[in-house]
Amino acid sequence: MTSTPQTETHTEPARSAPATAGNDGATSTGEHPPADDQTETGSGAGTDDDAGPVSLTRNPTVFSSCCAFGAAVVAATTTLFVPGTDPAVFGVAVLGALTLGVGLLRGRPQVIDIGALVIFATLILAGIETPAVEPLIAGTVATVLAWDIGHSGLDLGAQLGRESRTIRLEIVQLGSSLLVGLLAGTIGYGVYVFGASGQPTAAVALLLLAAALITVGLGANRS
Amino acid sequence: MNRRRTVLLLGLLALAVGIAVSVGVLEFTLTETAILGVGLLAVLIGLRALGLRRGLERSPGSARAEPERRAAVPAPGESFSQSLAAFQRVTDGYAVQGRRTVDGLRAAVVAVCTRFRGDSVAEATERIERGNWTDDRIAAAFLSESVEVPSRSILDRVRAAVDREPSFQRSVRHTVAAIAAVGYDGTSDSGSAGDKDGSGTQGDAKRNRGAEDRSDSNARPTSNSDDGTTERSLPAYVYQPRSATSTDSDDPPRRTTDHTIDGISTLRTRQTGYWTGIGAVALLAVGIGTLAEAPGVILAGVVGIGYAGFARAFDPPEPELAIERTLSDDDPDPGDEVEVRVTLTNTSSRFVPDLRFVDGVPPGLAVTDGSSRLGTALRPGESVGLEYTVTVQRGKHEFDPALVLVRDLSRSTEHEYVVGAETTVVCEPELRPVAAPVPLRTTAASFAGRLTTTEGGTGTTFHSVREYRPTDPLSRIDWNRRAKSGELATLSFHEERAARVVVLVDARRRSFLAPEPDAAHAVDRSVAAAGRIAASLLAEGDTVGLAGIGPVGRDETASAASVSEPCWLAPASGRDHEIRFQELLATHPQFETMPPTEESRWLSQLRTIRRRLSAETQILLLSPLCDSMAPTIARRLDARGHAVTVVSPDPTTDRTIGHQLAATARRVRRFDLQQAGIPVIDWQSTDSIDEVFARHAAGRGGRQ
Repeated sequence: MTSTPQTETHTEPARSAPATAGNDGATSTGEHPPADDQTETGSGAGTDDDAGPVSLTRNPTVFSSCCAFGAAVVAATTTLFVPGTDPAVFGVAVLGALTLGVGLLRGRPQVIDIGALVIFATLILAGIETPAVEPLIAGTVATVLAWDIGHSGLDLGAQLGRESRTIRLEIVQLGSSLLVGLLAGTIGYGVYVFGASGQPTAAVALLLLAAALITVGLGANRS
Repeated sequence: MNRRRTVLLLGLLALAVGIAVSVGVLEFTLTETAILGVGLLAVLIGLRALGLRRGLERSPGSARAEPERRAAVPAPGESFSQSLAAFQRVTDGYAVQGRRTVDGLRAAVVAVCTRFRGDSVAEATERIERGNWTDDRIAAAFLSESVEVPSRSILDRVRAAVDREPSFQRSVRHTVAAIAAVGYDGTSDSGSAGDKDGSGTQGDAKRNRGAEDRSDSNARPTSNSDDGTTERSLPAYVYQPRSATSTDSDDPPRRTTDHTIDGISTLRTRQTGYWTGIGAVALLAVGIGTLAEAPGVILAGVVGIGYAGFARAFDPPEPELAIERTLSDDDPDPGDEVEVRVTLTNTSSRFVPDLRFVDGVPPGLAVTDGSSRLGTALRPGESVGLEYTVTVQRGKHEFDPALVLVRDLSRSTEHEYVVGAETTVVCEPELRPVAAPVPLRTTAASFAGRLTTTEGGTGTTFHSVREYRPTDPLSRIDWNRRAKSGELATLSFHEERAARVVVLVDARRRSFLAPEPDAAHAVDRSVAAAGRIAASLLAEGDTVGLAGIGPVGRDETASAASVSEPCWLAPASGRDHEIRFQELLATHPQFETMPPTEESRWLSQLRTIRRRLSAETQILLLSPLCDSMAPTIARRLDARGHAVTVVSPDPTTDRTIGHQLAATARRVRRFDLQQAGIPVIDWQSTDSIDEVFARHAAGRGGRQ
């Protein structure tokens, strides 16, 4: 435990101590100052046990990280299924997935945000000029999943550490997130398929306005 | 509030109209520009909300605590100014900080020079002025105006410029290192100390020198070689540690909660901000999709809005948890590994989707295997188990309430609870005799025993020959001399008596010190040593008692303090006594391994102890000697005629200037005590008590 210079320094008082003992001759034979002449400075046979306490690794949990990275790769791949996608767009998406992976490895929430945003941006970019809908919905669900699971893994790691048994919680999180995404995607897709044909743009705009206002209203409620 | 409601109302209205239009009930058309405007609005709201995520608080909440680790104790000398104050006799008036540092360091130099070089105060002061108290030119120049700062080489200047270290700090570091080296570097003035060597201690000195040479040859030569002054490992400049100024900003707390809790108690509720920004990004997508008339992008946004709704849909359930804790061993020995099994049961009728559990491992125990944390989901009535291993140290350890964090399914709100579940481990220190004899003083009680005293009388070891006196027993007459010269003489032997010893443990707040935050602190080591010492003394037939100085209760609530008294066990012997001794060491609140929060009135405790001590009782004081009061205790007891021996577990370290100065101050205190005739046995943190006693016994010839 003690660093070596420390041990070294303590070998020394023995030298000055006898000098002082000579001064007080009144002390009897047993009263030499402690001859702390530790000759074996290296003998580490200490009282401390070497089995140190477990250290908490506050890193993202392994299962969640793997799931998040997998979802990010899937999301990046969906850009390929959008008809007429530039290969560069796919490249950027893969870059986003890699960024997210780096964020998970380093435990940086901002990097995960950026990675997910990049993937999402490439999805939008790919989808702007095509009428294809299905790959975009799937890609969005995968992106949100990657972002969500990545963050929850990060949170779990920060609170409980990587070593703790958290697999059950992580499966529940993954399941619930996936379910919500699939539900939202299905509803949106259903509305699009069955009701989109004759829908006036005004209705879409109004619905959008409604969504915006409701989000603001509820969001303010939370803070 | 009102504005928010208005916005919400408008939103609902727009929703109704939008649905009506899309279904075809209402005929309503918007111009292209209006649609464009709405799209832009959505994009703007999205962008604005995106910024919200930046300022998000990302903390693990109460789970930041690390009950897995032992309660942290400071190392001596965390604060440089306090270490410095140990050397200052009287602070006369206000001083600027820089001046104060210089004055304090000068006082420290005087202190070490008068002790370890045999100077008088005047000589030491002159030494400082002339700058020849050290080889380190920077240190010498720093304390004296008449000494010039050595000119630095260009390389040094460049290095200093790159390091950006102020020259004041550099000088202080050099000076502290030089002070710590005084008395160690056998360079300029070791002769003055060497001259005073009595003839009896010459051998000792020689042996020590030899030992040192040996350690030199296989250890680092830099620390005390003459030319090593510049390369000498310098301590870090830490004036005031951060943890002292702010309340433990970087070090996580080591307990889940300081309070005892029955049942479940809410700590706090917090928004995790987990989904913050998803709504904004979704709106952004919808806005872009509207502008570009791309259905796919709009639908992508709709998915995002679905998630945003999910984030707001739930509230975390109120948990009703039953925690059951079992230990594999209820009566462990120190150092044993005990398996802890925790069973969590959800006794409520609601599903708990997200439960994070941090067990309240006692502050004196460290988890050495497994994890005391668990993340799970619990159906009604379901239970999960958690197993981990703790290494038990001496003392009475009560589990703190466990920390339970519950989130809703979307993880956006978190409730923190502490759940009380009492479990106590009592670990008694081992009473195994020390291999080497306990270093006692040679005064003893009037009972026969095995402690060899300095007095002549009956015994086995030859003491002296004296003139025959009429009442001397025949068996002690020196018949050889009688045969040779016809004179009667009597042989005296060293009297062998029993010692009556009180082991006094210094458990004041200032003695809770350790070289590393997680290492065994001085009080722990003292108490462990007290057990070993008592065992060996009792085995020798001596009588041993136990006393403690320090705060009795650990809680701020005065109840604990008023209930129990400071530890006192009168010297006695026998098996019963041994068991009581062991119990007291394990369970007495004064010797708890958890550092106390407040200082005690130790002076009155000392008075009580003094009153209880009978004459001829020896004191074995176990104290780290890291504040000025510890030597006072030893001296006061000594002044009352009790033979005091100090065994001092060394908690000092040398990382920073404060640490080094504190170690030097401790060295000075040790020296002063020895000068006053009180032997001090220094006990390094790397050694066991057996080694220390064996070395001491070898050093002085030992007790037969």
